[in-house]
Amino acid sequence: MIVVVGSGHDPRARSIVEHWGSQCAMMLTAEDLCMPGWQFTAPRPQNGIAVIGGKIVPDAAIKGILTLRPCVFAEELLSIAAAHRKYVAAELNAFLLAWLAAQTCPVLNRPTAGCLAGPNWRAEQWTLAAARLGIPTQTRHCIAGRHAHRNFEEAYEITAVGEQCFGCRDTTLRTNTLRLARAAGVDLLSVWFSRDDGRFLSANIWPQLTDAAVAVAVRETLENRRENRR
Amino acid sequence: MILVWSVPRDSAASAVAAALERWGADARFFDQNDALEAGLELSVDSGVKGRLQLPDGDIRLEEISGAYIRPYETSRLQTIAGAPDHARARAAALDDALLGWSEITAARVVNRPSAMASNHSKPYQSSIIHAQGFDVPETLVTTDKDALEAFWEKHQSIVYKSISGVRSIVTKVTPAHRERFATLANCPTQFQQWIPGTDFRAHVVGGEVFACRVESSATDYRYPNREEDAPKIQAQELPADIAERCGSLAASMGLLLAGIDLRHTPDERWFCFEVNPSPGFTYYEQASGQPIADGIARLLATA
Repeated sequence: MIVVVGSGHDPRARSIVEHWGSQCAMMLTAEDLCMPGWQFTAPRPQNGIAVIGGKIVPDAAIKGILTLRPCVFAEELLSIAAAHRKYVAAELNAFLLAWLAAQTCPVLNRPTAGCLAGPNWRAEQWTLAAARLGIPTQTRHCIAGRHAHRNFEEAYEITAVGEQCFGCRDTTLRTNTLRLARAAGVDLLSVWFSRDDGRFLSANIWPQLTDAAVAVAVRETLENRRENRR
Repeated sequence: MILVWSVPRDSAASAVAAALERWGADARFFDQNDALEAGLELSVDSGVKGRLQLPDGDIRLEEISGAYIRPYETSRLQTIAGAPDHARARAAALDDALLGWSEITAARVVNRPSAMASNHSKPYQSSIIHAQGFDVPETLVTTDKDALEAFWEKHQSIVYKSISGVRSIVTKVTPAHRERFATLANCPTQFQQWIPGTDFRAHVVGGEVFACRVESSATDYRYPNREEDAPKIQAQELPADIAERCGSLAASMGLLLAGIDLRHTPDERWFCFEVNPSPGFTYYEQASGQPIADGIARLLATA
């Protein structure tokens, strides 16, 4: 089974689960985290039990995990009394991070301490990383949080899934996408480059999954790859 | 130039600022209470440049060689909370931008936000601690009361505490808690085997380790129930291999400063419970007389 960690209110997460079919994929929502049945042991996770889509599932039955949320937001915990939502959200995030990090199956993207779905890099960090890899960039200006460059409409988008690339077929841009993904330690990444001169513009770890080829590649990566990272 | 970013009432930040002054370091304190009059311009390509605009004059970001950051949520400070929405939003944006800078600057930052983040999940951090060779308590996070009963039966004496970085009082589970077990399903809860022994707090500052012994009969010495449970803190060196392991642990997490909570058991094991990446060290410094703020100042001034 593939587990999609997302919000039940997120159409993208619902859509990919529907696309893969309920025999193959199930969604793990914030509501699932507040249901009886979870068992997680540390420092040696063993015989763990999860609750996914309302059903009790042994961790061992999970073949791969796709994480489509940076965190659990207090605002989505409607079943929790309003006064407790912030605390419960912090607890759920802490638990979900530990649980995701402990899974030995493929996880796209593996969590970091700051984000459930990979490195929580700001735009400036992506630019710095790209520049240090020798990828042409344009200087990114930020004035008290206001980013000056957001010109995405004239951009090529390339999505990396493992070692595969989708989108623009330019070899150099594809190579640069994979180099950036490796530098960030992620298997799933979308990168935008200027149509004018191929300079790096932006990146994010939540690619659109509407492209059927991308969805297939993600599924194959989750189902076929054997990981032993913990 | 050393930047200290916090508020003056923060005892750790004030202690570091005072130590920097004693060291004669070129240091500036960005008081978050002044955030409405401050601004930041940041330019990033293969390097990081810009300007931090403060009421008492600008600082060129590339001139900052070290930074000690203990920021609070600026928009919630008493001096800022009453400001118009747009002003508070601007203060929040400044927080975000400066945190972003602290992540990518070449300056020595104590500590970078990404390095501090593991403290938001105790079981996640516990796996890192264990990988560095420390014993850690057996832990169960569960929404299942039967699993809790089995864990309790196995370990006989267990405690519960928050999973996240939200501060909680470590509390022993007693039979009286059973009536609350049904509420477990509302939120995963963390339980740990109780570890008997003597507490130690080790502050790692760069390559230095300042350790102190904490004697208390309270389950959580930070919250003694009775006067006689009040902790007695005194400086005490750790065995060399444990001190070295503390240094390695902090380094493995990318932390230049860490407050490490240890317990030495009667059978000579060293358990590590937590690594605090932004320790309020002045509590221990005052009790033990250890020059921790000076160590931090030295670390920053030699960057």
